[in-house]
Amino acid sequence: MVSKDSPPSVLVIDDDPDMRQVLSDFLQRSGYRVVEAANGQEGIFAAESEPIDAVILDKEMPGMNGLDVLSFFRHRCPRLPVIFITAFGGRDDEDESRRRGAWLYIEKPFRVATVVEAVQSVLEKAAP
Amino acid sequence: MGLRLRLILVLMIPPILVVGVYGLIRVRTGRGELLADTERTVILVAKAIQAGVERGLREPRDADLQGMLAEVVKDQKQVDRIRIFDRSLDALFVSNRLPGADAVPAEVLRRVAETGQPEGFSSGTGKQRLFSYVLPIRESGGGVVGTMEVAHLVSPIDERVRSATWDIVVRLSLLVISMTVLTGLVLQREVLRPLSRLMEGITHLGRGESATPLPVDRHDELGRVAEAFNTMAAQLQTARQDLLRETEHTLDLEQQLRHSATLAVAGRLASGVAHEIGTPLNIISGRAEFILQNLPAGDTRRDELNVIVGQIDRITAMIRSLLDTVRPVKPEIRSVVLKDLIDRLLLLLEYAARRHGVTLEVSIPSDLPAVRADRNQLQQVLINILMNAFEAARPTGRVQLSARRALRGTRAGVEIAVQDSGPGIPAAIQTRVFEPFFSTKPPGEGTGLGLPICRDILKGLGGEISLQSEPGVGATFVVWLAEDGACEA
Repeated sequence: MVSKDSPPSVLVIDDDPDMRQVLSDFLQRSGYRVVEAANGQEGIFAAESEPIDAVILDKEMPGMNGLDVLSFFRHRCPRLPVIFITAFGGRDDEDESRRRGAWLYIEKPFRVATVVEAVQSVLEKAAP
Repeated sequence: MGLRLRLILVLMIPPILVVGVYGLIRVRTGRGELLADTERTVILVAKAIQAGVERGLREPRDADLQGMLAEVVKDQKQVDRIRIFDRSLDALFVSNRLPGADAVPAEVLRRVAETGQPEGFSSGTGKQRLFSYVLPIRESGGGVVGTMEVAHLVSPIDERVRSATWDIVVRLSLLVISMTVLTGLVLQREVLRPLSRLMEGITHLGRGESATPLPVDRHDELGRVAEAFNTMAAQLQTARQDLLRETEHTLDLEQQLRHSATLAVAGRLASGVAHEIGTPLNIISGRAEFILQNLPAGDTRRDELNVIVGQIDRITAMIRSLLDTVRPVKPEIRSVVLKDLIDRLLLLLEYAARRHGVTLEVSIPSDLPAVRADRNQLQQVLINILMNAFEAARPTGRVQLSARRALRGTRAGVEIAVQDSGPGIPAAIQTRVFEPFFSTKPPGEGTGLGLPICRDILKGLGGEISLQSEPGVGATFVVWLAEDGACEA
């Protein structure tokens, strides 16, 4: 649950700054702390260096892509809820992301409200 | 040389030779026997006359003797002339004359007179051929006083021989003519006509046409040939059809391959493009949503922002449909029992029908054989067609979903028909409904991809979809799928 003194941190890993901005605006308005990362390496670094409660991870990124990052999180922090997003991914992407440990799969373009609800639901599930 | 002529010659020559030669031999021997018979008779008669003449000489009553001889010549068929000569070869008595054969056979007469032995000989020509028998005339003392010639005309025998020969020739000719005609007729009826029918059949077959079966109404060799021909023609026909089917199948496969190759390329392109578009679309709608959240209720700008969000949704739906078409799908083909599938969908379908105000009538026989299909894909197809039907039939129409066994060529299968009571589909656009992006629905409601996707899915399942529609009466979409041979219905 979201507490007032320490809002949950959501790490948004997406190479598109505008996309990050949209997600960030909505999440912050909903009371979350948002950490942004522009690629896989940055995302992993952020997750290792500060407390993160949930991740929104895009598939298509230059360098290390979303699926590689997903595999990394699965090994290093298996309890971290990851919401995997991709543009028009299809069933193959959904299956692959679930195989690699994604909690939820959402296709772009999505209604931003849907993602906020998704973050809320994974946090509730992850709460001890 | 044709079969008819050859057969006639082969059939005719031996009997003609046999009958001809035999006839001629018979005539010849007959003639010889007849001649010998005649000569014997002539000799017998001559001897009787000799006795009479000698008796007459012993009791001389000349006038009576001459009269008797004349009478003999007149009465006896075998005697045509009697001549009596003295020793100096002077004629003492001549019964009558035979023009052209009246020469005196001096040599013979002299010899007979000297030896006292009778002698026969032939003379004369043509119609006056003679057989003559010369006998000695003795006095009571035994000395030869003269000779007597008894002659008989043998020409009539030749005449009879000639007419017998003619008879044979005429009979043979009649035989030849009648046998020729008969053989020709029988040959025509029994051999040549069936052969020409066979020829005709072979020519048809050779041209690749189907041959009309030959009548098999006889139990001889030609009947068996006709039967064998019919069997061969039928086998050829089957082989040709198989070949045709195989060719069509190959062409179809090729087309499918080309189609799927195109689809694969299109799929990669579309996926790439869609992915690039996805994020910007999301940013636009996200921004619009964000502003919407900041605007107070009742602000007129909300409507404009809602339009933006709505249009993005529309583009998204369109792209998803497009991707569904071009993304290669791997159907999991297995045995699907149609009744089970539809029973499971029924709640959803009835709900959808009610929402459209449409009555749904379902009749799926429980003894239908299972079909070969991918469950999800078949479900997608049926829902698609049924939803179209509901939309066509609304607000108060009727939609019938039925299924029955149906053959496609020789393949057993099941036909699923969805019939609606809607306005029907004009003939002009009936062929276009399966084209991608062709839609009759109002802008924004249909992507024009539903039916093309159905058609592609069915093609992938080895099935078919077709449309029958009469404007004003409604439309019927018919889906056909092959029966699952391995599975009992």
